[in-house]
Amino acid sequence: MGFPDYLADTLEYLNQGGCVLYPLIAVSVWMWYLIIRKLVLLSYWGRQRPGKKKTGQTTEARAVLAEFRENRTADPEWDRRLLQSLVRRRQNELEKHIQTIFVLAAVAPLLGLLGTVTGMISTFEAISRFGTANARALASGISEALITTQAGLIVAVPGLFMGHYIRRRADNIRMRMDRFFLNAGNRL
Amino acid sequence: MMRRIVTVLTLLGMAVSPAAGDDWSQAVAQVQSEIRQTRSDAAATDSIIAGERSRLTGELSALNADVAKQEETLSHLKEKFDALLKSEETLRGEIAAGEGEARALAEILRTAGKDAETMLSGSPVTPEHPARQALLGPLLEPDRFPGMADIRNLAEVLFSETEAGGQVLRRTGPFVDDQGNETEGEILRVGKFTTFYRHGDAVGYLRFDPASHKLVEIPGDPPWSVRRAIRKYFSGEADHLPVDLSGGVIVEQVNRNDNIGEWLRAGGLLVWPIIVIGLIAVLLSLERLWSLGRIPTQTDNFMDRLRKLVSEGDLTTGRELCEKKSRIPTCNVLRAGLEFADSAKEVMENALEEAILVEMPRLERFLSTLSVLAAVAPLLGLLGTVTGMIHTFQGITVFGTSDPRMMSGGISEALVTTQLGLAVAIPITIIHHFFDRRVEKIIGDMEEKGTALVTVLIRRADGV
Repeated sequence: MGFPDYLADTLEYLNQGGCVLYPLIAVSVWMWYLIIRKLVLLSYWGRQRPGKKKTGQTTEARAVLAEFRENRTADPEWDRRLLQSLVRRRQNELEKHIQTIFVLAAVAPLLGLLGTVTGMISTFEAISRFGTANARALASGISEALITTQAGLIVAVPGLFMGHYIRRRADNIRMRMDRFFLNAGNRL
Repeated sequence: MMRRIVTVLTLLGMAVSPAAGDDWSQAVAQVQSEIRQTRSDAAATDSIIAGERSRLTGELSALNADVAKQEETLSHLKEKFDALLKSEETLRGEIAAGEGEARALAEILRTAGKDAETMLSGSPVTPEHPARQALLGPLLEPDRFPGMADIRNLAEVLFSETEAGGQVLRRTGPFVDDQGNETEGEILRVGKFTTFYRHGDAVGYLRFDPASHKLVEIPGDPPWSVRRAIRKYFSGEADHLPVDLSGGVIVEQVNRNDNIGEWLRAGGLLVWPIIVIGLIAVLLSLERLWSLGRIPTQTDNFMDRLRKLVSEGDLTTGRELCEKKSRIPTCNVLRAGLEFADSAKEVMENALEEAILVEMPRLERFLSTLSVLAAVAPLLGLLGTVTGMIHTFQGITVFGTSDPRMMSGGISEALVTTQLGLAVAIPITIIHHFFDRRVEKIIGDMEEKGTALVTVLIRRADGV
């Protein structure tokens, strides 16, 4: 069994999920795109360890400090505030999209539920039309209901997991940045 | 015999007594002659008797022999009779068996005829051969024994039906459209599955109605893509057709499905508040999109220009620059900072914070409303679910669970509201999240630029 066969099988399976499955797939693709983007960004920021003497590894910290030197005033309180605002700009970059990942992970099971309800509606429509004797007519609605529910959970669970993982890593990096720049600000 | 003789003698004696002796001799002679006579008579009688007896004995023996013979014949005949009776019985049994078979055969033929008739009465081929069903008429009479001709007719009808089931036939004929008018149009029969029509520009599916013996259009319109495919086939552009293998059931369903009004009616009363919520959410989202979409989240270029102006000491030009861009909240904040350019740091700080606080409600307008709507829509759906379920159970208490159709009304109400509630809530959630993010970015930008402005102003004051 080659890859095209698997693909055809998967498409066939997804086709039974009805029309709610398409937004669900879109949500899933979007969510994973954001997750991958965040992971790449986090690995970039994770390598930015000030204190290592290797060049090219502390570019971000140097950029911040350079900007700080350029704009510093004689007032130490304002200097701290300035540094804070410069750092916060980078931190916002880090925090970006994490909330979006969580929202998408929360929306996925709702979409699954919507598909469930849609499938159930078509099931009961079939019952009101053919009675309960025609199992084949019921089956399509039921499969729609179950496949979308399943897909919603399949999208949501890893999404939540990855979201929490990313948030933890982002928090760690943010705290590291805070510590570093606090020390740097005190020294400067 | 003897008695007679004695009597005669006695009589003689009596007669003799008064007479004298002369008469004796006479009398004796007479008597003797009498006796002789009598004896001869007796002898004759005896001989006669003997002759008779011998004859009779002969006759008797002959008769006895005859009787014996007759009895023999009789017993022969009796045997024959018994044998004949037996054979008659077996033959009768055979006849009965044969009759049962014949009756069963006739019954089978009649059943086949009835089946054939039911099949023909529902078959879309029938309008092409209106006389077909008359052929089966004699076969269905209950008191008539079907003959070979009837069997041949049945076979012929069945074979013709089978053959028709394998052909695609196009003809022009009458049918009844969905307004109930008789019209003429092109009719296309695909096997025994589906019948299509084309009448001018209208195409669709036909169904054979056995009650009126006419082709009747299936009510409702098939989807646009199906209609296009049928049109293409009729005009010879395509070689494939959407055939309905269920004999009209699926088409009926498909024709009925694209009816949003019916779907909403099935949802009961609670559909309307959900729809109203959806509309409000759409309006608010458009408003937010309009006002937030025009606000840039990054004002670095503007800030650079302002920084240059301020470090050069040109505060009035800076203020005018901010006035020009007054629709951008960050510029309003910076202008507030420039107002207090010569004051103390704390005053400047407070001015900036105040300006940010002034801008915030304008940015966050309707966002909380949107989040409330996103929370309320599924709750209303749930309320509809519960209401529908209550209806369902009320129906169960009245009618029992025997007929699922009785319950499906309440159930569909329950499900439609849930569906609609979710369908409204999910997009609102996502949209709200995006506006939220955008507002956060703008506020972050305001704070950052405000701080930057203050540092620039302080540096200017310190003369760095």
